[in-house]
Amino acid sequence: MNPVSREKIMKRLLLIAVALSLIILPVILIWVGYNGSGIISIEFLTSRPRLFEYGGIYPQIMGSVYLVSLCTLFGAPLGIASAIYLAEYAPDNRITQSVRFFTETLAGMPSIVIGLFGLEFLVFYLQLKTSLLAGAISLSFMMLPWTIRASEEAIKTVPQEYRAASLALGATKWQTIVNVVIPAAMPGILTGVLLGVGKAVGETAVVWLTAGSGLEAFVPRSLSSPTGSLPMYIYLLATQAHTVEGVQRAYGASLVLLIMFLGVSVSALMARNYYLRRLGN
Amino acid sequence: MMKLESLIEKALFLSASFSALIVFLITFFLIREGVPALSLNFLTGLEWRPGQEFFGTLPTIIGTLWVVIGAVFIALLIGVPTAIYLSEFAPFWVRNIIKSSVEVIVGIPSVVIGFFGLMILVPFIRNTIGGRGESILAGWIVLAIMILPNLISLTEDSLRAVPKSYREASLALGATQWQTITKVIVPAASSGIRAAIVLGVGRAIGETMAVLMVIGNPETPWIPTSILDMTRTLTSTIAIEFSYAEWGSPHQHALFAIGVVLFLLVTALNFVATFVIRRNKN
Amino acid sequence: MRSRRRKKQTTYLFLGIGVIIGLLLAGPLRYNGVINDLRDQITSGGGDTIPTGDLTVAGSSTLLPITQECANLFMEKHPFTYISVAGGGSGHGIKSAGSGEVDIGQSSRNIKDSELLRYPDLVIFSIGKDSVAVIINSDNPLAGSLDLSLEELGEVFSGEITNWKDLGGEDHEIEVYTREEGSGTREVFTQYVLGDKNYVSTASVKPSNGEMRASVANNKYGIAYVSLGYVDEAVSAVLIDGVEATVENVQNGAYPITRILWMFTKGMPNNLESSFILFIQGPEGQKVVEELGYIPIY
Repeated sequence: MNPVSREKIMKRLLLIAVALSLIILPVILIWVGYNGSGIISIEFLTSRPRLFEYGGIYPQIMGSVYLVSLCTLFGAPLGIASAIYLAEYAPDNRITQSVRFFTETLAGMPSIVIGLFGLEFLVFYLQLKTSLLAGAISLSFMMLPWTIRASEEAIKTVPQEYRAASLALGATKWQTIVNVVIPAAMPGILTGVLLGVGKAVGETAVVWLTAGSGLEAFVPRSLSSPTGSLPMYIYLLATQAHTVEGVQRAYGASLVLLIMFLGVSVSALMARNYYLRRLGN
Repeated sequence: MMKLESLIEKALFLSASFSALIVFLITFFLIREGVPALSLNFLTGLEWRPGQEFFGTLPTIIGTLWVVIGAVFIALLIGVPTAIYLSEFAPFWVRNIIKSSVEVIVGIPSVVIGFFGLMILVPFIRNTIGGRGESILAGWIVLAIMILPNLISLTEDSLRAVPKSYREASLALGATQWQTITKVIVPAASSGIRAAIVLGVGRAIGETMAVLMVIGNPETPWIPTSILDMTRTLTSTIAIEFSYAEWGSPHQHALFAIGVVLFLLVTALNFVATFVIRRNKN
Repeated sequence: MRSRRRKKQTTYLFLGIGVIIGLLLAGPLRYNGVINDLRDQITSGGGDTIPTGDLTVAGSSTLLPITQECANLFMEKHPFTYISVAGGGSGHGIKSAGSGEVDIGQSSRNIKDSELLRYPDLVIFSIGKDSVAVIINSDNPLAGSLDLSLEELGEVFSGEITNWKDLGGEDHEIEVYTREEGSGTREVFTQYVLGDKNYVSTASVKPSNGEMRASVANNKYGIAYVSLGYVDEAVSAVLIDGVEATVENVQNGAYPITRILWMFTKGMPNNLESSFILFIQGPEGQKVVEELGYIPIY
């Protein structure tokens, strides 16, 4: 076989692989959208679940919203502060290296291990019970390393001249960071935080062990009450529903979860583009 | 003024050490609960019968490896050509769209992919290939879907990092574009691809929900002999059994010990990834 | 100038995010405050027979449908009560009630000596009776007619009989589903049917009654055991020694498997706990028990 025709075949194989990897996600999105849109109604979105396979998912939606907001409240400031330290202050020594290694280790930690830890440490040892608070803190452990990584990268891409100019004008290091570096790094930081939020929205194993059963029939009213969440609801119905109504609700909840997730992710990308445009002016 | 500055620095250092603190706490609590069950027999035993206090995890460990290696292989088979296409052939705007959608897709909730596997893949395998449907094969496909985006993204990055002069030199010597890709660019990017594989393996080992929903979780796992066999993974065993395990019982300690094994595997992979990436940079 | 504007933008953005998060958090916290005020008013008015407040229940998935429906009815009757019902299994229910993690635990098996030693201050209530039924797919040719003895069932679930042909059905492997170790339903089934035998190792483990039923409903060659309350028209129950798995047959003793459904509190129940348990044991609760296919205590 001559090299030219072999090249053609290889290129065709390449395109098949490309098509395969590009087709998977649209297929899943269309599958969920097609099956899930039928059940979506005001009633489904605003009433509480009944008898396992009936009713709506309002408490689950709100539970997910609360879990994720609280998790961001804990995780984002801590993550950004860590990133500032690692990018601006950290001397290149053993301590910094090990801090970085541990951050990477935490990023790779299986979610079920974080869930086990949350159960043992937060739920039992600190007596938080299975609750909104325990779930949100455990989720923030998951989100933390991603926020650190993205923010550190964003801070590092701020040109050195910005800092030099600010320092030359007599600003202190902290003033420089707050007034010059962080605003310039904002798009990256924001994108990082929002991608972390997107991860937290869909996380199941962690909330399974720490936040509640998933079918709670009311919106959490305090930090210590157990809370339902969309991923748990989907898991329970997907595996246990045996009626058409139940399976439909699993599709519907999946659609709502995907919309929430895509909303967060797309706003992450839009936030970045908006800032990049502004910086470009 | 200077005092405030150094206070801020200290506060920032404290926040930065927080993730290290969490890792230490995780290690401490896992080991505290898991060590009573850890023994040679735990790692090499063939029988998992919690009711009779047989806690052999070898079949589970091998099942996990089967599922993970197959999934990574499939993801490589599809992901590397896609990355090559993106970095070498695709027009700029196509690349842009695909790269940003990949960034979004990485975090798609695993429970949705598991649901997809349960409703579509399992019945499909059952009806066309045979077996019970809930199988290692289903686990492969579901996991491959989950690790594919990251793999494409990282591989594409390392392919693009290969200097342009390499391509030009190879083409100038009369090599075709295809020869340039397979003989020059991919080898030059191989350490980056290796790092992507290691990270993919780490992600696949730790994945819980999607796998749990499609691999069947037999009563007593055995060392799998076919891709249509059911099996258990380390994560799925913890997930199904933790809530029913009597607190303080050997069963609960055994589940935490599985957590320790997972933790060690993932940390070791992280070591390898750091090592590979570092060597790449030097 | 431009940099100041940019700084302003950033400040607004942070403010905006802060306000959104604040609003989200303010809801439950403030709501909680209102509830606490109301509760104080009610209790200070000497009306401490009116139950108010939060109650968490966890444990056996067998009792889950009963407790969930009763909780809904109870919450409608007493507007300032919030009852959260979780599964997790019998062992989990006993453990978390005993450790005070939840207010009420529920179990579909008897409490073990070891558990009583660990949690000596558990107070125990019975809220209903139940049985365990064996189910197969409705499309299985044997559906409705399959009649096995306890020994034969033991042979099926331990893997000594592996083909439907041996039971008079199609030539296809019997695909066994089982519950996980620690489940009350599994323990009762083991006690009555398997004895000392092990479950067949290829049995697929499903961590709830609901998933057992869903698996058999989707698998023509599946067989599983579930709480009597989970038997419905989606699956077909197997006769044991010619006796159908029905409430009457369990009550009159013709159907061989029976068990009691339990609830636990740590120490004597407080006002809210006892009114909820009394509600389930009372006529309204027992009606739910009956409607869901379980057996009332009376």
